[in-house]
Amino acid sequence: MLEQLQFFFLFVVMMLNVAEQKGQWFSSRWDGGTHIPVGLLVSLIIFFELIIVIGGWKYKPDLLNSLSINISTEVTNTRSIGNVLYTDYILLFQISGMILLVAMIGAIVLTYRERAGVKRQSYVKQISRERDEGVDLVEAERNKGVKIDA
Amino acid sequence: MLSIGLGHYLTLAAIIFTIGIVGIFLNRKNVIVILMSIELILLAVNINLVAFSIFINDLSGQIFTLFILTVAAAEAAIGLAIIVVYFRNSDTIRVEEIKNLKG
Repeated sequence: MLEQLQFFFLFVVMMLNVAEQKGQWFSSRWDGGTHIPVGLLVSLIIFFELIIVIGGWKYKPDLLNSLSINISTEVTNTRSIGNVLYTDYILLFQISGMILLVAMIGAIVLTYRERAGVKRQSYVKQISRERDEGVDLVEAERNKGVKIDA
Repeated sequence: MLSIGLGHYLTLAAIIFTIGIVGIFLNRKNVIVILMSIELILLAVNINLVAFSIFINDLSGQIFTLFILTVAAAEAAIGLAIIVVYFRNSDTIRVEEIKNLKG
């Protein structure tokens, strides 16, 4: 499902019409583009913080003893994930399935709309039709036609 | 030959994380691009989790990553739906013109 969403993003990128917006991507009506250096500065700071953390982190000494699920080298990675996911974490697995279901229903409900002008069959309407709506008794006079849909 | 170690993965994750932050900061045009940037940040964290999981030989990082991906998919679906509804109501998703919440 996530891959589908990534593809959706890809389509969005195609729809964004990048060529037309070229040159005005970073322009702003409010501040004339002062957010660019500020944003770059903040990003640089965060990046170098991350690099510093990567360069300097250490183990907790008793980490290796506190591991919960060891990776065994005998079975494949997918199999070992499945072994854990469908047994120990089955409740979380089912809950995440429910989350996906709720998200799907939510997305459908949010984006649903009645389109005007689309003729659609309605069973309820057809079944609950009464005689009075369908049949009209008209007194027809002699030598005169009967107006239909008057 | 240079072998790919934990540091490389962490650096990749840091780069992707920073790209996401730059995207959020610099983008003034489109809400969808902001959503994509948030997605990037989340994926960077996932890369970290998987890299550490392999490195310390513990599977729980990968399991956790799967659950994160699930929630991320749900979040992206709802977010896109909200954007669709917003576009229907106000005919724009440009960041500059979304100011209904501004007091």
